[in-house]
Amino acid sequence: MSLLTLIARLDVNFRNFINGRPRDRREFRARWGHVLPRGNSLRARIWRSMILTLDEVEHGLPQIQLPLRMLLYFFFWPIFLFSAVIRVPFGRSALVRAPASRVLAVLRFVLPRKVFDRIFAQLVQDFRDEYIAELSAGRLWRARWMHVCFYLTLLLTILVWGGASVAKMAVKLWQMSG
Amino acid sequence: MPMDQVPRISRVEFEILSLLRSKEMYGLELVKESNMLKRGTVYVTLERMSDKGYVRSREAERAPHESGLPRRIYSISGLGRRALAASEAAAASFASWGMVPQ
Repeated sequence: MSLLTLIARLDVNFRNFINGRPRDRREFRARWGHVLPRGNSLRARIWRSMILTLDEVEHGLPQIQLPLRMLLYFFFWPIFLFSAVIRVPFGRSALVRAPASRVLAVLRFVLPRKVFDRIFAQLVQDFRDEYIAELSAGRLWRARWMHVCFYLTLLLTILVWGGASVAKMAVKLWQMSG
Repeated sequence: MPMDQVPRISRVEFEILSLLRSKEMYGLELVKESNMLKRGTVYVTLERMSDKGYVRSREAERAPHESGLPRRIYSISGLGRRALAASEAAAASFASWGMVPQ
């Protein structure tokens, strides 16, 4: 799960950065404000400026043009990776993600759009509908079991889709050679 | 129609086309209506059938307050109806000879 979290976080970072999302320090301050060094000593000021600068960069620089932002991302990615790694064990939020949102982010990033929209997004939406219906009915354990089943179904779908794609390609090659 | 032009469909495709004959449905509805269809394979099969031209799909309309991923609604196409009719005719002729198609 932590690897998926990491990939999803990097994906969000990348999208924020490339889209030049406006800066929002509130979330960062809410999460990290209590550990920021206080006072006006030189050390405290340097630490604060370094940490806030990283946060600023991570949340995008809307005033910079897209090609330059992409170039910057290329140089900054080790910092984003490090930042994402250290946030994974501490990342707690009052907001709860929709079920399967992380795996959805990964699939959206990896798969072609048509395949994602027509196969995997439908699968996730089916799962969410049933999951929420079970939760609404108060059947928590059934909902958890459905979560497990969803990952098994997803795995099966990936295998079937991969197998069908390979078979289709093989038939095309055979037809071209014949 | 010559035999090589008769569209051939599998049992799963036959099941899907039979269900879609009366009304358009989305994937989960198809799975719930049938004992043969599985969640893990239905969308891959529907996509393959869509490529073959047996089914059509469109994005479902959503009310402004609804959120979530867009659903796709599937309906049978003209070619799908012909394939289904040909398959049913073949099954009927097998049955008339006292044979059950596998």
